[in-house]
Amino acid sequence: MSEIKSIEQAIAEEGKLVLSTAGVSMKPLLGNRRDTVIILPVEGRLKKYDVPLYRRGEKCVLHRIIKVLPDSYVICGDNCESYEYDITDANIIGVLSAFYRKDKYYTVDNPWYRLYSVCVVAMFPIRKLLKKSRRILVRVYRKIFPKK
Amino acid sequence: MKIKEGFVLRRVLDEAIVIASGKASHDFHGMVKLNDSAADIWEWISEGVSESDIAARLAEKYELSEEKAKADTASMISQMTEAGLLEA
Repeated sequence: MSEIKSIEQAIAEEGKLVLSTAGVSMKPLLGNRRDTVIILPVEGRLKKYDVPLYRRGEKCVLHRIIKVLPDSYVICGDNCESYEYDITDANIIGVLSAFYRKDKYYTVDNPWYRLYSVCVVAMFPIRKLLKKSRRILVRVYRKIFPKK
Repeated sequence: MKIKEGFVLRRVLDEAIVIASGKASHDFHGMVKLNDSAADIWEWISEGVSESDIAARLAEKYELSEEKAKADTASMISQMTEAGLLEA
């Protein structure tokens, strides 16, 4: 009934990967160890808003493409503020095609999901600014009211 | 006999796949593909159906002899237990 395969082997042989999400970098879309993602092999180049699963050293990461460059992608998690550069097609394992969010099934063709994708990418610069402002405010607050 | 907390059955592209979520996903990172009858057994276990009733349902649904259904049910439950998906 069970057989152990690497993630690359599994997607090549099975034609898909079904994984439980781990981490908070894709919140609010995907919760830590709550949701399930369905990853399919990639055919051709990916597009802006696609969510690839890719290798970053030993780790496999699922983040969103915010810009397509001629030979690589600029990628960022929906809940992250730092962009990742130099992710090439060679690093890509597969791409998100559908997911279960709180047991409800969505495909990436769902119009609400597509709207969410456009909004979350549009808000990256604003969110980055807000998070930076928050950090500065916390630092100022701590200077004025140091912890005892 | 019951399904361990955190293990869920997902229907993906006409296939039944069991994966771990929540705390269970700390220790179990794979996916287990189930065929149609195994997926039925999984769902009946999750409904709390006893092993003998599962065998009876299996015999009726797949037109199996009583002995064959009992053997298949016992074998599948044993494999699921060995894979760490079920607990007493």
